[in-house]
Amino acid sequence: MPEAFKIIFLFFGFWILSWLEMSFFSFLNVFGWYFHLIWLLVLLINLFEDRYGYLGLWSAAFGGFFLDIYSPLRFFGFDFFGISTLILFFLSFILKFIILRYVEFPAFKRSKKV
Amino acid sequence: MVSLSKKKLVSGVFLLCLFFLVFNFLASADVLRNFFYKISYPAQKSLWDSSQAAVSFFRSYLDSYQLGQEKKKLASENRELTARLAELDALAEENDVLRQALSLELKNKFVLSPCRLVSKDLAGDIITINFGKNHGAASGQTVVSREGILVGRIEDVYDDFSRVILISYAKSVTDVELQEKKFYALAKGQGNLNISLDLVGKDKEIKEGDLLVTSVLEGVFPPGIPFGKISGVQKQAAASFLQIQVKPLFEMESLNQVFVIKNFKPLK
Repeated sequence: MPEAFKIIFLFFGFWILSWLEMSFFSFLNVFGWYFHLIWLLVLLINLFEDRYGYLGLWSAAFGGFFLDIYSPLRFFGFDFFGISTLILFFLSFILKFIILRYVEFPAFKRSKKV
Repeated sequence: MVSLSKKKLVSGVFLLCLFFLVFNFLASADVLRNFFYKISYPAQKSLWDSSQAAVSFFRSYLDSYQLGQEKKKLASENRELTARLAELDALAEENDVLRQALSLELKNKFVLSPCRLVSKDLAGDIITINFGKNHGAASGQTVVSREGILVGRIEDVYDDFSRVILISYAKSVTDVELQEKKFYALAKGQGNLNISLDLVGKDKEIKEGDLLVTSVLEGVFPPGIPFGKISGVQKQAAASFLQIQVKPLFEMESLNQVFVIKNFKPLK
């Protein structure tokens, strides 16, 4: 699938996910803990996508944007638009950096025929 | 590749920060929020309804499972319960009459505007309603349920929608009055639809099930609106005050339509 399609798919996917988070998942909690679908998905995409890919960062941008729209965070009585986007973007950036620098996934390589 | 993408990313983050800074100071995010709320309103409305239906279905299923397990225990307590039921029926009837009277009183006393609940925030006890500036919404207006029970107050107002802080919101503080015993206390929201009651001395007689109403002292909400029910009282030797838990009277799972009191102006 071309990269542009993936990005468009991510945008609408996160939009629908934010609706679900604000309706169905606002009723479901385990000992007062809620399922933050957007955070979870951003984390998973960043962890499991191609280590040189940018989809994790795109998903952080879209997920954060929809959180800023539907669930604005308040600091000292003022809600700064973009704070969720920046936090998610920063976290994705850190994750990417750690994976690129310090994580080596085990992989099976075919040995050369002798 | 790595150094190039690092440069790109750093400049991207910098540009993003700059964009948000400029956006917050020059433009209003409320317009953008209202635009997205308006587009997604039909989908969100039906999602909210179906979520409520699904949650109440699963809850009733779980309840029936638990009832099955407790069948033997209930059978032995049958006689006692039957006697109590008759007593409760009379109380429920009285309760219904009182509720209706209260709701009628509210309707006569205040100008109420009906509106719908659109979504609930996961970040805290905040809901969104389809009632905005265009309908006469203003920050601080009181929101009550269909039965006339206090739900919260309007905090952010957009053109067609508003965000309402529930009485159980973590930073919400309300002056309340214990209906029968005529003394005042401070109800502090704890989040997740939990409220605690502060500054109640150990000498006060409070028991589970006591009803709280809004007091005249604070002026944020109209006085006399049902607020919550005492759900737990603990006396600790070391503490100088009682530890009291309060449950709101409204039920989130059946909260669909709410009313905004338009002609009460809060003092704060």
